[in-house]
Amino acid sequence: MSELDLTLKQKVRTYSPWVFHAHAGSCNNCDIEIAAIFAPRFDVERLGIQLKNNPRHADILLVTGPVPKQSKPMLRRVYDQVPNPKVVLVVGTCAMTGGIYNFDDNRPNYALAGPVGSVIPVDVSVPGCPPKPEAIIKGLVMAVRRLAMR
Amino acid sequence: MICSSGAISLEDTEDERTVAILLGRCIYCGRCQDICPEKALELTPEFELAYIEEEHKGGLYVKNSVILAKCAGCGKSIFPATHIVASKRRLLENIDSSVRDLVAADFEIYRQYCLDCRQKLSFELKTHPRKFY
Repeated sequence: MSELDLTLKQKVRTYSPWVFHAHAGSCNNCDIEIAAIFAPRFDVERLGIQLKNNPRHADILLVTGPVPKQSKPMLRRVYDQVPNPKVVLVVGTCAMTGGIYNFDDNRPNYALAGPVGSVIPVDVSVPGCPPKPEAIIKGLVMAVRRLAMR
Repeated sequence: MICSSGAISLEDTEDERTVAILLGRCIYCGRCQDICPEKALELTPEFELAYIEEEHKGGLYVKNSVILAKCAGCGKSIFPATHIVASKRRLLENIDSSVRDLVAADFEIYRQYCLDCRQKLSFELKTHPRKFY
């Protein structure tokens, strides 16, 4: 799909998507990489992507961490607060499957409310522990394309 | 098992064994690469693994299948055929040259049977009685 195929509405959505970072029990390693992509070295603001502090302003919800039972209602609430159209980007092994906190699916961890996918619908996943900043940028670009198609 | 995050799984069917690595679980520690005697696994510099969840339902896997050898005695599937070849090569590499021919002859008999059949047929197989090697 090229730029020309987009309608005007789809094109403006790709112009400057804002990101809200929801931290759901992550060990802070993915969060450091996310801090890196918004810092000058990897600088996703050149793509118009900005980190915002309010989910009501966001287009992309970026989630890290295996979602402990304590933070499940908060994650659900943050997801509801993001206005439509929205895209959920999941970063890191923990958020995708539980990772090392949920070693075996047959014997689930008592403290976890499952991976992010069982709490809110997930659109794009970025595997890695932690993923490289370049990998997260690729995930963000996929999320932006998906946001345009909504 | 070596995988600290449970990413590697083995699944046996009638005559095939599938090794699958779930990329959503892998933490890219490289321990499997260090431990693998056959250098079958290798970490690559490829890292842009982001994917759209709808296109890969159930997770992104890297899969490899090998054919399982059948036991000549009971017909059950035993180890992968490649495993038998590799263990023979490693056995003969590490053994003293004076008994190498003897071991090779015994191994050619033993490789056809599963562990249970080796026990049952231990008299009929007529392998070397004294396991000094």
